[in-house]
Amino acid sequence: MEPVIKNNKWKLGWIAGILLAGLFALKLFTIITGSIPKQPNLLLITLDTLRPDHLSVYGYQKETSPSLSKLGKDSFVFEKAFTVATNSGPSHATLLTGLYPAQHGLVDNGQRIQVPTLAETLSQTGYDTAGFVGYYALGEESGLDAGFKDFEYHPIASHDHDEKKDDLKGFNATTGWLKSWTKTPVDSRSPFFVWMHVQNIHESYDPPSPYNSMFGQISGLQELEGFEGEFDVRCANDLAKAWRAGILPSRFKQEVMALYDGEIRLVDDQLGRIFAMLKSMGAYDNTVIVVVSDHGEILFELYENGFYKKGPGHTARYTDASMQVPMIIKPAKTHELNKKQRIKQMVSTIDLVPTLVQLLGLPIPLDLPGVSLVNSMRQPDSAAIREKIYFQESPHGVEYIGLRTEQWKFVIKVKDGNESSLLIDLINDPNENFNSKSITRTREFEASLKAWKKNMGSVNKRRELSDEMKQALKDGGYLRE
Amino acid sequence: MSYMLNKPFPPRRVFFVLLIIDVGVGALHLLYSSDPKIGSFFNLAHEENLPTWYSSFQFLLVAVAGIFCYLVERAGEKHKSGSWGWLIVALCMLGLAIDETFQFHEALINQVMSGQAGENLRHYFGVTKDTDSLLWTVVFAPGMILAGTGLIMFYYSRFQSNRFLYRLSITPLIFLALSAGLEFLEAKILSYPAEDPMIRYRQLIFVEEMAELFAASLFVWIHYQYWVWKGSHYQFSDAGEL
Repeated sequence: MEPVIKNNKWKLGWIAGILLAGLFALKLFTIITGSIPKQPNLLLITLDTLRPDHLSVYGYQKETSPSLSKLGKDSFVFEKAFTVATNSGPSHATLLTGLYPAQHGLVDNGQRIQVPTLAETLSQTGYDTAGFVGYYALGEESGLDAGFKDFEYHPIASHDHDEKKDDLKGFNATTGWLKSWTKTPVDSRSPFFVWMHVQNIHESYDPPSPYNSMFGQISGLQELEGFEGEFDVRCANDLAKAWRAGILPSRFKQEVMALYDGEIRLVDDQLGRIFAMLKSMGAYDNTVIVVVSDHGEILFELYENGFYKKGPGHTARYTDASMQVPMIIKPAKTHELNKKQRIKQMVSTIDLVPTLVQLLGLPIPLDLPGVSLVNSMRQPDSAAIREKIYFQESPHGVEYIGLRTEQWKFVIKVKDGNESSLLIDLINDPNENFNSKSITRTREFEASLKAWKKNMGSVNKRRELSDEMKQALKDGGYLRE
Repeated sequence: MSYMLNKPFPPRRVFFVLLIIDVGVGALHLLYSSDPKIGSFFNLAHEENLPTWYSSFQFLLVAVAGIFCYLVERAGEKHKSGSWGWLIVALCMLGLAIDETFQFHEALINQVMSGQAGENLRHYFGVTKDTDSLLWTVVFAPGMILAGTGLIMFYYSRFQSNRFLYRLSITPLIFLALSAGLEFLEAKILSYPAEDPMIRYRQLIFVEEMAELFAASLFVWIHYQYWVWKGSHYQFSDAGEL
């Protein structure tokens, strides 16, 4: 006869099992019967082509952005934020996925995203989603509409030098959507995720009245020595031709700045209207508001290194003028991030998605290359968030890959199989004019980029542009015959 | 009728045969799961195909061996207490075999997740509607813990004079716990807006399903080993050799 199991062991075993099962059951019961805390809304505003140094909140002397300054008082203002790409499509796809262009597949305007987006995730977790874009390359063909229940494309009429009546169509569509959202009874209302892409600031700088004369008087059409036909400072093509030909008189530069600032002020007034509306709806406190741009803009900076294409614009120019972006994050009141501060450490737009995911109370995806900035928002004086900012894209089939540290910037260009590189010492050459000869640094950064690229992986599929997209890119000055 | 085997097929060999089949099923998955025509039939992540039928068959074997353990115990020791436990174990294993093929647990979890409870669970665990059925491991965790405890206690009561068998009996339970944990992780991973969550998902589901197959093979071994061991034990006892 086998020995009989000892009673106390038997009891202990069962007690342990029942206790564990009971604890699990109790936790499940509290989860299932509990009420879901109200998740914050998310308003993501991407201001195309906006340089931070033209915003009052970043120290600009002209009053271009009183509404953003006001928002800044409730927000964390990131003083050194950099984009991962200088083209709108790749950069926006990063803002919506938290992945580098090679990872999400939209490496150039006209390409299509190949991974799920934040909107899809939020839509699946019960968010009411809407997207309003002002640029064709961010429209349905790009795949960035995925996850948005409502998605609208509103081109900016003034960029075609048409009548100015449609300049505000995107803003009006956004406010209209928000108004309809408020009509849903509070108890059955889902939190919203609204993405508003604003194209107004992008060239051509041609704001409607009164913004066209708010920061200076603008000349009308006129003859310009060496310029074929009449010169119109409000026309991006005229401006580019005259500038590249070296025949643009300096007085026009002030006019261009005034027009650029006018566009910013127009946008800022509209944003003020939206923020006021959120307040009157009672939704401001429970809404995470993010204001960020996809890239900056070169406004008459000249670079002697010869690495970049000359003239105005931003694409494929990896100077701080086109890479530094404003990034303002207003948390919801429930986040209890009460001590609003300016964050001085370098951050990247790749960090935005993990930050937002954490602020919305969702688990931070393991595969995202960015880091959540919430910890830095809790302790603004903490150590460097990242020592290197990486960037990468393939505008017009030319591959650019690079990194930026506090002191150095290193860019590799691969065109038709030929590789060239640029090394800038940002401390001793802040205007980014000269290619540094440091072989040690070059080797170090080459190795860093190689390792980063290897770790990053790639979806590596490039598709042919559709005719409609080709036309849209030509219209936007991104594609030439 | 005798339930004691005169020349039993060695239990360890039975286990190795099953193990080879397990590995074969895993290999077929790796080789053919991405094939557009026949992939679904070998895919460990899919239902109503070779891996699920094989898994059902394994649990059926566990149940049958369990019944023989009951019979051999009853035949050997008329008054041994708790022999009926084998019938419960066999019934549970039969339930698992049926569930493997018909996926009743999925229908049940879909019911749970369609209501307010589901909303709360999705929110708490941060998973999306598309993947919430994978949360069945969480919802049924209290029941599974109780069942696991019961099984450990029962095996202890049967195998206390055979330490090897008792230690062995813990292993499939660990594999099943691992499998449940991985299924929960899959729900989380598929909810991420990541580069390609399917890559990680496919890796996890492979490990998860293989752990389940190994667990079932181990259960077959344990039950069969006990049946053979008890059978020979009673035979020798009857002959006065023990």
